[in-house]
Amino acid sequence: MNDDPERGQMTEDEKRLRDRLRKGIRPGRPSHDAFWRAMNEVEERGRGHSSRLGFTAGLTAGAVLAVILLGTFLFAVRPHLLPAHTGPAGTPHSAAPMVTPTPSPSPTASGIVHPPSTSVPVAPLARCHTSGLSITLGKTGAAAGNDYTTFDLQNVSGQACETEGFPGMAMMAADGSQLPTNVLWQNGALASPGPTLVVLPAGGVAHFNIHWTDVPSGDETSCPTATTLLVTPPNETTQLRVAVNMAPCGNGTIDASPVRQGADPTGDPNS
Amino acid sequence: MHPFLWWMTSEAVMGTDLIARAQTGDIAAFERLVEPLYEKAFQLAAAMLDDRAQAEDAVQEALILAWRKLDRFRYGEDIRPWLMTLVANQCRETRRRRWWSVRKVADPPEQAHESESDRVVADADLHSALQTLSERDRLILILRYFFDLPYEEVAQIARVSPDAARKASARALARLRDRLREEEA
Repeated sequence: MNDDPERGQMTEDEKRLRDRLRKGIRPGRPSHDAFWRAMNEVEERGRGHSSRLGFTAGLTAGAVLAVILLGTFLFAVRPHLLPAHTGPAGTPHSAAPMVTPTPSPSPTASGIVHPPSTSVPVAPLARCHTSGLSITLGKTGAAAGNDYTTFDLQNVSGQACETEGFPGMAMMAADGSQLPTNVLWQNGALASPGPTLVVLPAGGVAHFNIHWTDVPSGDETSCPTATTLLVTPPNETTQLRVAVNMAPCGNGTIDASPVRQGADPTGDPNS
Repeated sequence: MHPFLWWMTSEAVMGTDLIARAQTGDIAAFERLVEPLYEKAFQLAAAMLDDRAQAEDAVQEALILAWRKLDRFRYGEDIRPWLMTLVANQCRETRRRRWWSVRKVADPPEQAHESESDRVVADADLHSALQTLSERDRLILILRYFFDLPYEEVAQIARVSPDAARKASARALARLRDRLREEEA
């Protein structure tokens, strides 16, 4: 303890408390088979991980095989059915987009780029573009220096679309100047579970949550207040505007969740 | 040396090779990756929940989540704070569910979820005082003063800045002191 400079500043009273915490908390050891019971559960209930890779690989292989068989059949048996632009291998172009392209991650103000999630073969839908989305401020909450807010994104394009990933954000002050914004896509509670494909029918709603702390850190004595938030939907380059009243500290640090399907089911922005 | 310090400074847990193998679906690699972390994960959950049985359940759920999310784990990062964050989040969920289950009962018995044999905080006054702290304050106090973690890692697990963790820790300690004085008075 004494070799820790931060601890060196502890008062005797604090040291007594610390010692009491150490003596009072007796977590003991887990039961002898707890780890293996847990791993059995992981194997039973966590199949989403390992089988997802196999599922995707299997479907991809199946799709490729189907294309080859179909092309061979059309070329050998009914060549007149092939479109004029069919390539030399006889693979119809129309059969190519069997798998949704893996979405490219969108960069944030912090420059962190997150790996895209495993793509799932589905009928291709148009990506949700900024122009086809509206944004509204949802519920807000605060506790002990932590603030949370939910935003709803609605598909107003009139057509179904899909999106996947994290939103980008930039804060603006009341005078229109841009404020430092540091969006983090962490592995914390907001980022769990990670991004999944969100399909929005016409009029459908998705949401994302953000968290920030209003306790000044470092040399900060106060944190600038933003009245407008510019939100870049995943994989888009233009922004939606939404009125806010937030003053994130830590040079404008905001934790963000990925965009999730539906309105926030809990109604709790801290979820 | 404090056991957690030893754990913190011990050889990197097989490192990135196991992570890479586990990310391809190798559950044996995942087991080897998380087994050395299990006991401390359990101790964190036990201290947070003050209940050993619930702690085992919470760590189990955190491990299932870790396995499902492992393909999103950022290569090169330390898996320990990542797993501890999942455990802390799961403890929060457990407490939330516990609160709801108590609410659903018309006339719930006092502390019905606990039995003395399951209780982790043996000091009765300390037990009561810790229960009055917020989830985050309790987590920060436990990570800092029980597990002896540096503020940087406390901050990472509690998802606040290191400075915020320092300030929250000082505030929580002061609150705990006040509560204990009240209890003892």
